[in-house]
Amino acid sequence: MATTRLIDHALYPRQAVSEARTAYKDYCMVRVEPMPGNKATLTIDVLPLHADREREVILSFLNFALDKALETQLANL
Amino acid sequence: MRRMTRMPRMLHMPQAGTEFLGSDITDRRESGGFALTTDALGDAAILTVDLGIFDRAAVFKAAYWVTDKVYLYFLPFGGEGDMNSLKIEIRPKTLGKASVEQLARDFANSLIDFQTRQIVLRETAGSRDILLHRAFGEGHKHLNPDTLS
Repeated sequence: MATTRLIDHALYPRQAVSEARTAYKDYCMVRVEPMPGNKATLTIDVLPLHADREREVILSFLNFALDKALETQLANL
Repeated sequence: MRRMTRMPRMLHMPQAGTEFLGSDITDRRESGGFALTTDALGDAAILTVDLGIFDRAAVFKAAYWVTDKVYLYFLPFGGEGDMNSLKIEIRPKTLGKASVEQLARDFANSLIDFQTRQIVLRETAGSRDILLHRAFGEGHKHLNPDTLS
């Protein structure tokens, strides 16, 4: 089951999302669809090997992306 | 630091009809200043933080501080140019072990702690700079090893 989340690049810089995708490439496939207003839709598909840990993978991916985003945001304040 | 026991007024409930994009919510209720929702990923609490009251730095630091304990997700800002409030979704790392309501309250307290630190940082910036200048300013006397006593 794919999960979608709308993110705002004002909060999640593109680099943070990119790093999270790379870090989680063995666990899930993430499609990024640009949306108007500097936003993007993330569609997260957990790989079958980790299907029994779907919630953990999806939420960990989002936490990782947020961690990276916050590091960038705090460095720029 | 003195602990605050009341929920801060600035954490208010999302308005009725607010759409939380990307989440197929199966249940939604409101409790003590935040919305509680349930979707395919389980229970979540959604706090709305007024950025006119809380500094972004405080919000970001509080979030960074707790990401090892809870799952967080920042919902997109509202309409065009509306960056005055931020909605934060909070979920437990393990289902059934902690109440999302309690996690939300803990996060709200952490937010107040970090905001207080921001205020203290601002208020003491001048004194801090003077102290640092005096402390490290002495170093220039020791740039030449011949002057070391």
